[in-house]
Amino acid sequence: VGGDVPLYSSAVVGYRSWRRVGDGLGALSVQEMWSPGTNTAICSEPTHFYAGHQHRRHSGLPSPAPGCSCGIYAYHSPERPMGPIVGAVVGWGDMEVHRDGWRAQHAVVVALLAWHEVAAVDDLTYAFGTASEEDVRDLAAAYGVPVAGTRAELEEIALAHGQPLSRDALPPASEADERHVHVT
Amino acid sequence: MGLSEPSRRIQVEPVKAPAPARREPARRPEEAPPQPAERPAREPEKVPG
Repeated sequence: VGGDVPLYSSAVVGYRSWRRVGDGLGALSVQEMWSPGTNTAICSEPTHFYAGHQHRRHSGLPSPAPGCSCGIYAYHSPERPMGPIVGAVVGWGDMEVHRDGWRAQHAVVVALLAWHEVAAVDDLTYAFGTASEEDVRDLAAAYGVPVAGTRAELEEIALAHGQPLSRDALPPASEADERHVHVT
Repeated sequence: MGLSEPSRRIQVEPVKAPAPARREPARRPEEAPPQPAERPAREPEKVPG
């Protein structure tokens, strides 16, 4: 890590979604399972079925690497993730910060969102199936995390484990972002 | 999930290792841990005076 890389001393909170795979939490866009406790990113063979990802292997280098799509993903906002199962995580290690989320080297699940808060059928639940109330309870027990009743409570629990990134940590807005701002 | 480009590199070294809060199952009264038996109060030693 070069000397110009900002160093932070608190884990970074984030929010993401999963699908149920057996007794565990599976990523939506890659064939990877989450473990209870610390998860560490690797750059592996491309298994993406998420449109637009350009995955280039970089064996021997830590993940996430700049210019690659690898790493453990999360959004900054608890309102953003949709899908069968939503929860809070904290990330640390080498991180790539985007304006809407981050990719981390290490992350741990810290809470799941109650089923009734994510039961709405959206595009992701069409694609990955639904999770029942019992699924969420079972998974929370398996990962040793609480179930939050609302997204506000999910954020409250997450903030006990880490801190959100300040706006200063975000990259500058791209030209596409600027165009989007002008359009809306 | 896709994220917007570009990205910015940071390094995060938490002072405290992050870990999920393990939920302790509610302990029923009959499962309460045994308390150490109370020692009988010792009588003051008699010192020959």
